[in-house]
Amino acid sequence: MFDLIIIGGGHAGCEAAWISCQFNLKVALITSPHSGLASTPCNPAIGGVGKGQVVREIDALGGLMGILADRAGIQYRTLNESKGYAVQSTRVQVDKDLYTKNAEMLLSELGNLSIINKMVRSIHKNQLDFEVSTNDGESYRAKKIIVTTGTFLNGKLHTGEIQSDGGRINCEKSIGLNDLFKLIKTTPARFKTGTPPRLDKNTINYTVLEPQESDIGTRNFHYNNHKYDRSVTQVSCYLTKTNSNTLSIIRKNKERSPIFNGQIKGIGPRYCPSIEDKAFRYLDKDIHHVFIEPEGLNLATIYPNGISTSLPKDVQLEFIRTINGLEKAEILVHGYAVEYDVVDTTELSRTMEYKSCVGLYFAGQVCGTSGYEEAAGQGIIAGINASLELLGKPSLILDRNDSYIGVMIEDLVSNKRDEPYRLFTARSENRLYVREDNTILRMNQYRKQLGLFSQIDQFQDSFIAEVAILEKLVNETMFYSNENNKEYFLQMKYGPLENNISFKELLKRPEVDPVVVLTNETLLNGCLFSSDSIRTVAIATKYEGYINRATAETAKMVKLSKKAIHWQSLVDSQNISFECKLRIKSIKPETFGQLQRMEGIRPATLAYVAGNIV
Amino acid sequence: MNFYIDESPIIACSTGSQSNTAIAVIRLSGFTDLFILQSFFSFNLTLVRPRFSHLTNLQFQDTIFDNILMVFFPKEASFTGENVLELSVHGNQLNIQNILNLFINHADFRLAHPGEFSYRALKNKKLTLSQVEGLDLLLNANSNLMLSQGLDILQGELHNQYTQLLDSFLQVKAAIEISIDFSDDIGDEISEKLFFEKFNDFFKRIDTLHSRTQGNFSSLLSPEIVLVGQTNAGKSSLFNLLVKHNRSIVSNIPGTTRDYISESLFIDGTNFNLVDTAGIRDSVDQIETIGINRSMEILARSFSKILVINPFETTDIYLKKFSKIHFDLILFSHADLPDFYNRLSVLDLSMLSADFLFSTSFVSGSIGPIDSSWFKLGPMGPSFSHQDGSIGPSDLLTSSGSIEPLVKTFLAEKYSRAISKGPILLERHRSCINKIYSLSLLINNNYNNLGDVAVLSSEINILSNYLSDLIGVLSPDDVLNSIFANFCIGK
Repeated sequence: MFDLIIIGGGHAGCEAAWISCQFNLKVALITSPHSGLASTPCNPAIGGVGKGQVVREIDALGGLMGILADRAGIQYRTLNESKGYAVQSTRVQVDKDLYTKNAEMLLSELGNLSIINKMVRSIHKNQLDFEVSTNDGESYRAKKIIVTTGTFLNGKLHTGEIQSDGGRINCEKSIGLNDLFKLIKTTPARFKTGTPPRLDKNTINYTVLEPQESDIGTRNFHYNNHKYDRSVTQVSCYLTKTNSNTLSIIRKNKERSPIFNGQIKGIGPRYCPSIEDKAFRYLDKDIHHVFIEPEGLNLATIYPNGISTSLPKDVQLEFIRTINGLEKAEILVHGYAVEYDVVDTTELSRTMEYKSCVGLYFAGQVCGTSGYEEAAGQGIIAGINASLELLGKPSLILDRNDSYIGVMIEDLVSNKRDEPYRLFTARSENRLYVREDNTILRMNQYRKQLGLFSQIDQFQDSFIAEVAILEKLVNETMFYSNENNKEYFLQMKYGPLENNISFKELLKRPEVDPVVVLTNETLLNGCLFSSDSIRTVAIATKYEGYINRATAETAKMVKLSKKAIHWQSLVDSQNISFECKLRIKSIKPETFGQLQRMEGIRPATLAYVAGNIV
Repeated sequence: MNFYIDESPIIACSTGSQSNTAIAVIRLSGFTDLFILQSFFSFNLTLVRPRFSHLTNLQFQDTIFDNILMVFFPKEASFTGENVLELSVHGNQLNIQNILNLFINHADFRLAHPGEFSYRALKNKKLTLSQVEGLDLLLNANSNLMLSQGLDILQGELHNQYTQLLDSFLQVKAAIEISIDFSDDIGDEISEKLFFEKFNDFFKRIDTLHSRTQGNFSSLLSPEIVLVGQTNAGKSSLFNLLVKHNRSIVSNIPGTTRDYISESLFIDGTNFNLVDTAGIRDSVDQIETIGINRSMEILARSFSKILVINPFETTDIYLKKFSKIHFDLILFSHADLPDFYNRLSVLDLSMLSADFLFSTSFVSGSIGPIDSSWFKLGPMGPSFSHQDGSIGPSDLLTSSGSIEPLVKTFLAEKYSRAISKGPILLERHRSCINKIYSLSLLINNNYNNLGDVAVLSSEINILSNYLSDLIGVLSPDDVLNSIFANFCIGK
């Protein structure tokens, strides 16, 4: 008898297993026998705009992803470097073998985790617990279940005319969600995602390609790692482009494309279109970026990012060879698309629990998201909440105003999705605040709620104390407008010093880089602060005014949107239309903001509810 | 506001309930299904074609109420976004009342509140907030200008401007999101160029709209022409000349016109309100002081300001009161007296500002150009732009003739110039547009000092709040849709 069984060993499942084991629970991770843990079957990269924040949020909660990414990181980049600190994000190209090996090693070291390599055949809910049966006839019981099956539910693969069953290449599919669990609702439309062909790295002419080196100044993800030392050798990625020949080959083969000949019925993500999508949606555009990304230090495969496809194998090779540098490329694994079942996330609460089935949680791509980071973010929240529930503690709900995980989960449970969900920074109303540099300040309150007191909590406490000291220093130090200082300001290019100004005012000046200034000034004055706390304080100071302004502008809305509402009393109300009641009943919104973001809620209903909670 | 949350079906007579007419239209909205109303009609409702007219008896339990025409609008294509039935009945008030009662007593209809049909159209997203305001302006217009502006906002040029402004803004917001979330796909250079392009387009649009909010537009809805001047300068004489009958009391005793007197003046299809104020002077008489203060208030909100000066009875101290006001016309009366120009040259007229100066004689009722070489003038105001596009002094400036036609021509020209810019009359729209404009101007002028794209995006978000005040709610999904519809995203 387990406290918790997690079904699926991908990013969501591994994260859920890792965190729940920290609560000293008896946990089992059931995963299909032939696929490695936390594998990266598509783009071997962790992080990205908005997603880098998620990885750091997971790390600050005590999660696994940052540790694994650092151990396997072969090329680091800071995205949006020129666009301001608030929108900078980290992306790490990982060695997919190392990533999986480290995940397996770290998880196998956990004494209270059993890893079971079997296919699940069925799940039954009993009065008090769940019973999971596997293909070999065994059955396992647990008080709570987390389902993290990714694209494996009724997975169907497409490469040109060839179709096969499977969760991904060379992996057996799982039984359909509806067979597994009669009471679970899936979205009516299946989702689709795709991946490009993998190329043999020795058949590419790198000399004609533009290299992108690993950035030595990008901070590692995990708090406890050295900030800039890398675990493994760093390599470069390369950039090339499609051309009119490439696109005309694709356009010629429209009839053989499963996406366009009706073979694939699932809905793919608009933000990650296949090369076929690009070819037919943008008829006047022939040049598209292709990033040549190594999948590992010792692996022979290259991931050509930007040309995901499910065209027939012969067409894939033909168009690949039109691309600069890829004229002699050989394909080792062909591109394919996968269609899969997706659970209706409006049936979930913000703890990731299926509302009408107590003790059953869902997380990851099975919830209709795309991306390893999104999956891991849901996995850790599901794992934490299942554990807290088992221990009889209050649930952990992340606010959308201070975390991207909060944004994602609220978006997921508030609206039915009609395409795979990916995080964009545009989805956050509070982008200037939800940054990578202040992750610990944002997440510490949530980490504290877990009630686990370990090394990470001590680290966060001391970091926050250091930040407080530095903030005090910045607030209270003054530059007096005397001749010495005036000349110093001129010399340092800090601008004029007509009046006395505080250190804080200096950092806010648009002409200075606050991080550089704060680093220099503290060093010159013999104060030793960590570069992390300097970044946090300097960047927070720079944006303070803008954040306050934006907050003031939306204060009224935010205040109202945070108010709790009792959906049950709304359903009983005489004053709300039948249609709205149906939606409220199915989504069960907990706050006014959530009600507001739901589709199909009439202004009259909002006016009524607002009028009654204010 | 109670009815705002009640969604029961409503009924009302849409053609007024004051007098008997040949035909009256009764409108029913919000019923779930047409067939539940079968018992009221002799016509077989299963044969009803949407938006076609059917002749039928209106009946209930063997009683025939009326012989009517009915038109059914299904909710997908109706004004309110609900099922709507329009009945053209005989317009006897008693008949109308009986029919309304029929549906109220024997089906679950209730009488609609004023404006409720429009409210439902708004609620069901058939109209935007600004369109409902336009409808209100249209239905309650008491001038041609209000009428045409109402139509304009409802579905005309102004409505198009608003929707285009919104589209343009969505592209600005999409461009900024692209540069943050998708710069890898699009490239920095292109995404920056894209932002400038989109922002310039947006700025042009808001700038045009903003110029249409400039000026005192409340004065255009019921334009007032205000006559001011010293007691007994000749304001009342002018007033009477313009309205062509003796209304103001004309006498030689200063202070005869104590409060203001007004009369409507119809010029070229526009109804002006001509106001003769109390003589503005330093008075010890309390009642008159109140009158004078009111004159200044009326002056402030007026459409046109005319100052009448009797050079023989005025002083620099008096004229100084008007130093901050720009007049359309200044008339110097008593031009028929021999010392006229000598008197003028003694006065310090440099503190006055006006578009035009004239010498007048109320005795002869004539008006003429003034020889300005006799004195120093304050700012002389704008020249007319002529129809051929050239700019220069109006022909009026050098005209002479009878006072009445000249002044009226001047007023008509000024009015048609004012409304030719397509002024936006609704105060709420003007304040929203001004807010949007001010912030856009700030962004436009400070782009390079804003620090970074993140800050810029935060300002653009604030702008989107203002825009949704004007037009309706924007959601992040609108922006993402705009991105995916217009740009090739995805590696």
